[in-house]
Formats: sequence, structure tokens, C-alpha cells
Amino acid sequence: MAHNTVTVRAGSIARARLVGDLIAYLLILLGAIIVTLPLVWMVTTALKQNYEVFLFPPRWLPETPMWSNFAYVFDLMPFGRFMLNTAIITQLNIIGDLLSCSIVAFAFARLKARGKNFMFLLVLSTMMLPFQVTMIPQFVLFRQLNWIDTFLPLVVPHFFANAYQVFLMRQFFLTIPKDLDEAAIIDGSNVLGVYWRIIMPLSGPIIVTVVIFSFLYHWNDFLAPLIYLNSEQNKTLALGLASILAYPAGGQGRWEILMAASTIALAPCIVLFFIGQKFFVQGIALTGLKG
Amino acid sequence: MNTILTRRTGTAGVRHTARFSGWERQQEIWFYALISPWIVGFLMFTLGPMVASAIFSLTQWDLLTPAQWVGLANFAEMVADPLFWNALRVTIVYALGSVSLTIVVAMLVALLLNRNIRGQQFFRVIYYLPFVVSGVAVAWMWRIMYNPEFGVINLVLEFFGIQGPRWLASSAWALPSLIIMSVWGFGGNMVIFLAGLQGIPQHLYEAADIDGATGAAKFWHITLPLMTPAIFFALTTGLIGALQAFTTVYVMTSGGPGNATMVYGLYLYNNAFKFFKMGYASALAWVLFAIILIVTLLQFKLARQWVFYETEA
Amino acid sequence: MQTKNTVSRRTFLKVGAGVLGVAGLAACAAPRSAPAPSGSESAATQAPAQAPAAGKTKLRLMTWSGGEELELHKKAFAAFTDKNDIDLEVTAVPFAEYYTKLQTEAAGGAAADLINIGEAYTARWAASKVVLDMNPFIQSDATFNKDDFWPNVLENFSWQGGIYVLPKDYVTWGLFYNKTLFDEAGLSYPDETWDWSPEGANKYLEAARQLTKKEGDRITQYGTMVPSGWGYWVPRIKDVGGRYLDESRTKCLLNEPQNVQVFQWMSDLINKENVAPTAEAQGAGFGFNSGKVAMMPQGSYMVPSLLEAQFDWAIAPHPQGPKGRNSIMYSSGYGIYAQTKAQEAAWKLAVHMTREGSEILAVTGFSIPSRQSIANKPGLYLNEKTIPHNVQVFMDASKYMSLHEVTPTWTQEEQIINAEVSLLMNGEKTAQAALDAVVPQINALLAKSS
Repeated sequence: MAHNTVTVRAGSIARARLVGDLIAYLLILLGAIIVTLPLVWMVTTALKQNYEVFLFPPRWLPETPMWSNFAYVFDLMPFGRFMLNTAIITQLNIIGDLLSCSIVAFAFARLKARGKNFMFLLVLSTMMLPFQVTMIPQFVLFRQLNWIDTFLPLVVPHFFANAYQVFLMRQFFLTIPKDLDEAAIIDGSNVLGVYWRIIMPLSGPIIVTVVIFSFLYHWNDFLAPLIYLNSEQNKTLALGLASILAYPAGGQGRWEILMAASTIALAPCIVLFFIGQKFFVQGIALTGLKG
Repeated sequence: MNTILTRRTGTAGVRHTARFSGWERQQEIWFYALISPWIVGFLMFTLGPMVASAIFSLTQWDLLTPAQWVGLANFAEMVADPLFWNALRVTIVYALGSVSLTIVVAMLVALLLNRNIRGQQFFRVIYYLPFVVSGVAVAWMWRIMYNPEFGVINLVLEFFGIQGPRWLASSAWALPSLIIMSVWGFGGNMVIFLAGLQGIPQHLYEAADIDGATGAAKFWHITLPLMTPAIFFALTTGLIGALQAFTTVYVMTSGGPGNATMVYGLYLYNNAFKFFKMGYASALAWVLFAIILIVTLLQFKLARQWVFYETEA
Repeated sequence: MQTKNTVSRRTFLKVGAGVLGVAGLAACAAPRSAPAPSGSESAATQAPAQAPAAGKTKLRLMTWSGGEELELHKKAFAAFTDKNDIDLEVTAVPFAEYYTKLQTEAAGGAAADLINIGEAYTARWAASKVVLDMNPFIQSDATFNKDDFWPNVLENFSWQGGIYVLPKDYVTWGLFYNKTLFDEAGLSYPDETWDWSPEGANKYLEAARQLTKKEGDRITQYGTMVPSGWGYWVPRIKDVGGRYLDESRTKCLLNEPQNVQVFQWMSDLINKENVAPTAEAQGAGFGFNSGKVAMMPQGSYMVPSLLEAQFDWAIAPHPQGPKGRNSIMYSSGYGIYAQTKAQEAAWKLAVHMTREGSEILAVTGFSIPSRQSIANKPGLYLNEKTIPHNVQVFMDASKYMSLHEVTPTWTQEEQIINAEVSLLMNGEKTAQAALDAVVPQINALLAKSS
């Protein structure tokens, strides 16, 4: 009797579930189209001829793709220089973030000390501090050091760890069995040895996550370069892109050129994302749920 | 691995304790040595500048001529400055609109994806993609899409027979435009929610099924309570970020039309680096900090009433 | 056991080494591209790399020129440095950040030896003793010939009896028109008989109406552009006898009736007459350069970007207003940093840029040489082969052009005005409402700063 009701209900549940899945599937598909549409529009616009951008009714795909638009970006402004500058700054910052955050996170995750909880709260509390509060005094400081219009103000502070990535790495380090440290210590290893020989080799996923986050953050960073970099030859991609309308023939409604430039700027982020998406999603989930 | 374990458990009982007492004492020294980069950075780039900023906020200073001590005059000026109040209002509307909409959309999509349908992995990646692209390029992309003359948004609306607004060119629609654009990046929250949903023990739903609970009831009584920690996280970090919005506004509207999108971060930047009112800008920064602090503490306080942690249950 | 999650140390090191390697390469490339602003520091880091010949004078010059304009200026500088064995370093900063940068450098005691300065900012940098008074140099140079400069151009850079910047050129406004579109419409070209007025019939509005074309309810061609910046509206309110500030520069007059009428007229051309494109329509390709707008009041700096245009065009004087004809004038040149160690070389380069350097700049039509003898030299600025578009108009404008009334808080005033004018131009506010909102804000600002 009881057994029967359960099967009947299970059957109707299965049917309802099938219909529900179908509707969900359609919604998800529609959502996916809406979400990707802007990026698709960006790329197709980048391949149009100028007059095609303004056609009414608009044209979704260009008649013949204008690959030369991408080349024109480099004629319009020193885009290669901007990319190199951005790559230099980003690389140095990834190194800085990775080294400093992993060491600090290691200490928080694996070592016992009085005042540790207080220190960790202090670290976390800096996440609340808006950049705007420290922006002006930092500017004054770096001006005093004569670092304005160099990469130093954009790079040096990132060799001193940041709360977000320390938190991220600590969360991961906590999941590594503590026995390993003890074993290494017994074997005569010191603390740095544990960090370098035990923890880091086991932390591949989180290292990749941190590298990707650092890359995205610094590649797209705008406010700090805006404040510190002035001259043309020192500009980053974001700065060059923001002032594109100021270049001759950049401001005459040449949206296809602008979109070509935007596509070039975003391409590394998208490629990196698809390569490392597994780690990404993992990293994000780590921050949210084990706080 | 195995050999180490055997050696430890098998042979080294005495050696174990001896070494560890030294090790315990060393740990504290090592701890502070290893976090010293953070401490130095904190003093140089956070605490020091905070103190300096507090001092600047009591002065009038243009970088070129010597600073003048003005006491609380900057804060008095702020109270009388209509643009300050405007910036505050714009920022709060933006932050609330952007964060709440993002959370709702992220939750809906996460629920849909959580049905374990075919291609879930693929869709998760697609939905997450907008979250990783950001900055100036994306701002330009949206600016073009919003153009009422040839932008794709009004084109799509027109297809459904809707006459789209003037978006960024209209002071009524400019801020909603920026909010809609920010919702595009809901993928970050969605991934967190999805992970949360997948962590909910299946037996809870099975038990509810046997009790004959409807889908809605299951959502309200099982899913939502168990998701509150994730929602709380999204809310807190989202608000802190949204209150500091800068880049998209700088590129898309420069605060216009009028001052309809003059967010706090941009107003502060203009005062500091366009008008060289370093003192006033520092005062603005401290007020922003105070607001973020209050909002965050308030959230933590309120959280006790609605965030549900499994360990408490 | 943990193979899945393990990145072997070797891989980690390899990746790390790779990253470091690229960074190292980058670091090698960096110093040359990223000169520290301080004279001493950059000298120290660059010395081994460049090893300048002993005795070679080093100069640094800061300018806001960019792109092609910068290349042209570099050519003009090279004509001097090649002959004089001078090592010149040019720091180019976009205009939007230019004075911030100068402020920063000057505050640090390390500004460039030669500083590009516009007339509106002369007083500020002269008063704070960042740039030198050039009168002693002028007086000791028998060949300088002050009278060769266009009237007022040199005076614009004076402050309390001194001259602080040597102007290389000036820029002024005219009416650009698309001959092809005029021909199609069968209209005669604009000339000095044209007039405009915020009320009643006038030739300018009449032509703008006739040159606006529609297909169905979509406008496919506009009669004219309406710029919203001060370079346009300052002369327009002068055209009707108005002004921006009162004599003492402590009171803003923008909401006086004749001024309100001018601003309302600007908005009406876009929103009521529909003869000028909105901001969105401009974004959608309706610009003078795209050949879809027949007229454009603009500055001479637009000339180079139009030389490649697919249509025939020329320049006329801006139509005359009810109370006369006016045009704004901008001018720029080089000031000598008060703490430079190479005064003599800096002075010579500044003079060069008013003579041979100015000749090199003149050929693109970007701006008008500051010396009449050079502006009038045949085959340079007035060259029917390279710029057959009647740029003579810009030289004739020297008779009726004037400066903007600038105060030390102009940047903020401009921000206030632009915010309200954007609401006027998009049709959301009337001129009266917009300007009534502007005036108290500016008055408060002026009261506080004086």
C-alpha cells in the first residue's frame, strides 16, 4: 500500500520533472544567448566597415569581414606599446601577489601564534577600506619618491600581500592535511621548507586561481594607472582605450575601430578564462562557502 | 608518504615530543616573520595613508601651495554641497539596484542550472564569462549597444514592438542603464550560489517529497535558508564594490547627463585630480569609508537574524 | 596520492622562471620607456644607456601634443636640436591630464626645462613662479622683433608686466561647410554677408533647414553641428552683446535674458528645428567629417583631420550676430622653467618655435603661426595646393577674435556649466532652468576663491 503510493507519486514527479527540465533548458538557452550577445556584437562590429555600423535596419554580420580594422588600431595609436606596458605591469604584479600572499596565507593557515586571530581580522577588515581613502596620500607619497609616471606605484604595493588573495589561499591551505607539516618537521625540515616543499607543490589549483585573478585584475585596472601614468609611452591598454576618442580619426564615429581595440584588449582575458575556467569556478566557490 | 607515516608513528615517540616543544615555540616567531610583508605593507600603504588622509581632510591643499589648516571646514562644505548629496544619492541607488538585481538573477539562473540538466558545465562557463571581462573595453561595448540610433538593445526592443528609451543620453535612464549593465556580470554570484545549492544534502529534499511538499515550499523552507550564508557573502562584497564604482561611469557617461550618474567615486576623483582640492577630496573619502563601515557592520548585525549557519542548527 | 592536485615543484619553478624571464626582459626595456620625472634620477638611470657626448646640452620639454601632431612637433624640434647639438627629451602628456602633471612635477621641483602653456593658464604658472619672465631675453635679442607677432598674441601671455610664454601659434574658429552638399541643394556658399540670430529669420538657420534631409521620419542629413563647449558659446553670447562674467569677474551673467536666448536657440536647433544632430546621432556617425552634416562651426585644429575627406569643403567666417562678429582664440607656446640649468638653450628653442619651427608646423593647417611674417609666407599656411580651403578666414579673424575670461577656478566652472548644458542640449531642461541652476553655483565658487 504505502509502497504503491510512493511509486505513483514518483512517476508523476518524474513526469513533472521532465517538463520542468525542458522549460528550464529553454530558459537557460535563452539566457545564454542574452549573456553572450554583447560579446558577439562587439566582435561582429569590429569586423564591419564604417557605414555598416550605422545601417538601418542594422546588419548583424558584416558583408566581408574587415580584418584590417585590427591592424588599423595599431596605426591609430601605439597599441603595441600599451599592450607591452600592460603585460609588464601585470606580470610583475602576478609575481608579487603570488609570492607575498602565499607566504602570508601559509602563516595564517599552518602556524600557531598568539594574536593570530586578531591579525587575521585586521587583514580581512582592510577589504572594507575603499581605495579612495588611501589613494590621495599614496599619490603624495609616490610623488615624493618621484615615482609618478613610472610603473613602480602600480607594482611595488602588490609585493606586500592583499587581503582577498591571502584569504583565498588560506582557505585552500586549510584543506591540506596537517600531518604532512608535522612529518616534514620531524624529518628536519624548517618552516620555509614546509611552505616550499609541502604546501606549494600541493596547491596547484589555488596557485592557478590566484594567477588568473591577478591577471584579470591588473590587466583591466584603470583607476591606479589613470592616477599614476601620464606620458603616452607609459600608458596601459585600459588608459589607451579610454582616451581613444582623443586620437585623430578615433573620434569620428569609428566604432568598428573602437570595437576592434576592445576585442584585442579582452581577448587574453577570454582565452585565459577558457583555459583555466575549472580553477576559476573552484576559487570563487572557495571564497563564498567556507568563511 | 607511507614510510614517513610509519616512521613517525612507529619509532619516534620520544623524539616527537622533544622536537615539537621547540617547534611550538618557534612557530610564533615564524608566524610574525612570514606575515611581516603584510604588516609592512599595511603600515606603508594602508594605515599610514589613512592617518595622512585624516590629516589632509582638515586642510585646504592644492599640492602646489602649502597646505592650510582649516579644521572641519571641509566637512561643513560637504553638508552645504548639493553635488555631494547628489553623489551620495546616485551611489546608493546604484549600489542597491545593482547588488539586489544581480543577486536575484544569479539565484534564478543557479536554480535553473542546478536541475542537473545536460551541458550544465558548459552553461556555467558561458554565464560566468561576463564576470571575467571588465573595465574599459566592456564599458565601450555597452556604450555602443545603448546608442538609441544604431545600438543592438533598441534594435531588439524594436523587434518586439517596443520603442526603447534614450538610455545613456537621458538623465532618467542613464543610471538604470548602468545598473542593467552591472547585472550582466551576475555569473560571479551565480557560481557561488550553484556551489551552495549543490552542497545542500539531497536527503532533506527527499524527506520533504515524502511529506508532499510543493516546489515552492521546498525552496522557502530548505533551499533559501541554507543559501543565506552565500547570499550574505554576495550582498556584503557586492555593496562594498558597488559603493566604489568608478571605471564604467568614467568611460560611459563621465557622470552625465547633468549629474545623473555622478557616482561618489567619480566626484571624489574629480575633486582630487581635476580641481586639486586634496583636502576636500580626503574628507569625501573618509565619509565614504564611514558609510561602508556602517553598512557592513549593520549587515553583520542584521545577519544574525536572517543568515542561517548549519552549525547553529 | 595527491597526484591530481599536484603541480610538481619543477613545473612550478619552470613557470616561475619563465615569468621572471619575461619580466626581466621587460625591466630592461622599461627604463628607456619610463623615464622618472625627476631630472637627477632619470639622468642617473639613463646615463649608461645613452652616454651622451660630453658637453652636449640636455633639455627636456613637456607638451600636450599627441599622435601626428606630436610627430610634427618633433620634426620642428629636430630642425633646431640637430643644428645646435642639443639632446632633447620630449615628455608628451594628453591635455586632459596635462596641467595635473605639470602641477605634480613643479611641486616636486622637477618640471621640464621648456613647458608648453596655453594663454588661459599663464597667470597661474607665472604667479607661482614656475616659469621665467622672458622680457630680459627679449630685450637682449636685437633680432627678436616683437611687432611681428599678431596683435594681442604676445600680450596674452603677459602677467604683471612680464611675458612668460613665447607663443608659437594660435587657433581660432570659423564656419566649415561641405561644398558638395551645398551644391546638391543648389545653395550659394556661406560668406561674410551671412548672419545668425537667436530670433527671427537669418541666413544661417535658413540654410540649415534647407540642408536637412529626411527619408520617412528618419533624418539622413543635418544642416549644421551645434558644439556645446565654451569655444562655441562664448563668442555667440558676445554676438548678442552678452558676456560670461561681469567686469570684476566675481559675478556670472549667464542667466541674463540675451544669454538665455542664445542657449535656448542652440538647444532648439537640435531639439525643435531638428537641423542639428543630438549627441546620440553624432555617436551614430552624423558628423561633419562623415559628410552627413553640411555646416560645422569649429576651430582651425579640425583642418588636418579633414584633408583626407571624401567631399569638397571650405571655411567661411562664422555668421555675424545681431551685435557683431566674434571668435574665440586659443594660443600656446613655451615657457622656461624657473629652475632650469639650461636657460640659454631653452630660450633659443622657444624662439626657434616661433620661426623655423613654426614654418614646419604651419603646413598642416592645424594652427596659425604666431608671427605675421611666417603666417603670410607663401606656400606655407596659405597654400592653395596643400590646403585649398580658404584658411585665410582664420587670419582675418585676428581682427575680431578675443580671449575667454578665465578665473583660477575655471576647471570647476566648466564642469558645472557642462553638466547643465548637457541637460539643455538633450532637451530635458530649458535654457532658463539650466542657466538659473548654473549661476548660483558659479557665484558661490567665485566668492569663495576671491
